[in-house]
Amino acid sequence: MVLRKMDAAPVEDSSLVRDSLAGDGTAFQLLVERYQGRLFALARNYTKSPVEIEDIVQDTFLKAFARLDSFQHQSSFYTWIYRIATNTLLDHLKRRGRSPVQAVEDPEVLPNGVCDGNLMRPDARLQEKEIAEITQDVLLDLPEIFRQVLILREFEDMAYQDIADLLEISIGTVESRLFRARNKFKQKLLAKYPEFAQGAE
Amino acid sequence: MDCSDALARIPRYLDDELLEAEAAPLRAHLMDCVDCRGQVQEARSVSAWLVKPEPVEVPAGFAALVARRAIAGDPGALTPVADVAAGPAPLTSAPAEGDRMRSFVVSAVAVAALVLLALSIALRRMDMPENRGLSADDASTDQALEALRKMNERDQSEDPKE
Ligand SMILES: [Zn+2]
Repeated sequence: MVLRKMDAAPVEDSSLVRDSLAGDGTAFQLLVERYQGRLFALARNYTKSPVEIEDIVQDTFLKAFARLDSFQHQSSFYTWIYRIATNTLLDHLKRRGRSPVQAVEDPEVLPNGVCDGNLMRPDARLQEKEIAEITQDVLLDLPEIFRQVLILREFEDMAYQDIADLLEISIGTVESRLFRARNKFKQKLLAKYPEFAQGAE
Repeated sequence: MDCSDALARIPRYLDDELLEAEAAPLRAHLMDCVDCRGQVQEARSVSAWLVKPEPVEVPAGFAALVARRAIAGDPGALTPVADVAAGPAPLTSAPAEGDRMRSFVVSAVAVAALVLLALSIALRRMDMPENRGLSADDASTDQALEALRKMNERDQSEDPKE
């Protein structure tokens, strides 16, 4: 049992995991508090319904707890729970009749993005919120492996190395995947919103 | 540095992934090359369209509730809870059944958890999300996940040259 001093250094995830496994609900609650924000933000990329987001994140933590003994301490707790969250999200979207097709769709067989046509910057009259809605609309149309890297890089501001660790892929793969993801994003954006092409007006 | 070297480096440059020793010659090239500067502009335009959605606030007491459920043995994946909790409107009759049928094996522990669930459902906010597409199509998600995994593996082996 690890002693927790209120004003000492924050308790390590690994000891919270150990205590949770021993049935300590407070320890698990601390873990949830530590990661709930990031998981709410992650789920928010897939749906705007607060209720759904809450369900997904809750489900993620419950699943995590149920298999906590399989947590390998060599990866970070976030890495581990991120994967559970991703599976839960896909599962959830699947049941809503959304996205699994997209998730399985092989990006390689899509017509490859020779992106002619340039994109305008978002119009100054568009509010941040409106742009975000367009972003989400387009993102939800991308294959999951592309959506994933864009979210991690653009929204979570993660370095290539961290993305590589999280997704268990090489740095080179992160780079090439991001490249293709951005192209695909741009293509889809132009296809759905031709008015944002340069020279469209 | 020629244009093809420059173009290959631009994404990492914009993502702040270049060492200064790599970034400096690129910057020099960009000073001289209109075309490559155009590529940078274009890449920045794409990024400008990638705007994070407005965050949703974590409800007060969320962590405590989740921890209580977890300790009580709720294994998660109990979508019926979500559906019931989702709000009054679709509860008219059976429409949720399709979604709800996720083979939900109620273990002895889960039964205990149900009491808790009922309680927390009552506590839950009742605002209504947009209509849920209640597709009864329940083909295996595992397949989707498996396909993703395969793609990852294949992707690994086709790392870009360098
Ligand atoms: Zn050039």
